[in-house]
Amino acid sequence: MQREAKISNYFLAFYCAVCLLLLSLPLSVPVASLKAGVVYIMDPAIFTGEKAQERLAQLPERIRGLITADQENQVFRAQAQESLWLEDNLKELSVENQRLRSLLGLRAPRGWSPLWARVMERDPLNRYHSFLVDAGQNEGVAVDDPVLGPSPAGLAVVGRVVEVRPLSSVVLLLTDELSAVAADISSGTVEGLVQGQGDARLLLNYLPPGAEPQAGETVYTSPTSAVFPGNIPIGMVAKVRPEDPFLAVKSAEIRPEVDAAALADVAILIKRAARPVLLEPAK
Amino acid sequence: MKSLQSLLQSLAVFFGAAFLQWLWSSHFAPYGIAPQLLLVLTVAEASRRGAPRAMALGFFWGLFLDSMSARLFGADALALVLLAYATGLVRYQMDSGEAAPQAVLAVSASWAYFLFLGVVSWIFTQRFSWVGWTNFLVLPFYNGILAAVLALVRPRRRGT
Repeated sequence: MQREAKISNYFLAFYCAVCLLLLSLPLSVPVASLKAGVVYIMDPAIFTGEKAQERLAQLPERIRGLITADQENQVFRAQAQESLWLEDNLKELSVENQRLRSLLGLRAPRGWSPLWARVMERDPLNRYHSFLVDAGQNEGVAVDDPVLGPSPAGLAVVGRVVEVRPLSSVVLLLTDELSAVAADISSGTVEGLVQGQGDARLLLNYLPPGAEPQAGETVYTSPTSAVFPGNIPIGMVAKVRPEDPFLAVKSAEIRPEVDAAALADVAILIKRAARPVLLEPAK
Repeated sequence: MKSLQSLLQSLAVFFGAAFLQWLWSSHFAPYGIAPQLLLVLTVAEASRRGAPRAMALGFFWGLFLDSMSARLFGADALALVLLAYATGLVRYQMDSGEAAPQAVLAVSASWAYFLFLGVVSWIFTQRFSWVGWTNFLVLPFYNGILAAVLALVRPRRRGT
């Protein structure tokens, strides 16, 4: 116990002397630099703002340079991240611009106004069944409005609206098994019915026995269609089915002009309202 | 061999506690209040193992605290050295291994520490450095609780 007290006294004298020496010395440049370095490593946030500028101004040039270089480095890193993000954004906008340019040249059939809408959601179980678009009742969409999609040949048949909500609509694709549209082959003399098969192909059915459809011929909507305007491309004849001796009709497989499963934008055709006729009041 | 082991142990305690103090005060300080772990450990070390080792640890912990703060360089080191010395003097007058005496020691040491820093600041800069009423009234009890918990958790040394 005595020994411990004695050692404690020596230690006390030594540490007090060192501490008093440190306290009485003006905060010299190395000590200030050490403190700034340690504090900056532990908590760099306090070196931002107005107070930090005062604090930095008291430091030697080299330490100040180190700290400001680190701060600038962080700013540049953030800017680099931001520019990467902007670059990605630019690429995306460029793709979208290209897509919209291609849509701009497309013209809707006479008497119809195209309302462009984006495909929001597809049927996850069958991509050839239906999809949801971001235009609805508020934009003037109605049930049975024809829906077309962009193709190299212009606007081609995609499907029709079967359900309308205030801000969105459900489009039943022509490839769905419940879909059908009256159609004729490019010759314009043979009419049949294009039916969906539930996959990427369509079936042109009920062709008269004398019809001779050829592979590669374009199939258009018939002017007799109740939903679609006439002469809109549907697809091309891919394969003529062998004639069935027990049936009085012929059929052919059609490759759709538009791959509905990969569409991003569609045009919903809205019938232009007849211009109101202003009658002169009777005199 | 034993002295080397003791030195390594002291170094581990020193750096571990300094890191914990920094972590606690910078990341786990609700309302900006975090216990003074280094002060509590200095007092605990002095009451358990005697003043010399606690004074050495307190001196270097004090320098660490000084380097982290904008206060006078050396004030924290001097305060912790004096606290370790004072605790070493009273360690045989009380059962300082128990939780309650540890808590009392930590609370008293905290108040003494705050007042001492103010006085040192007044002597060297002619301005009394006041820690604020919140710190003065809350921190000592926070330190006391921490000291009691540490006393309960830490295994007792034989013969103390």
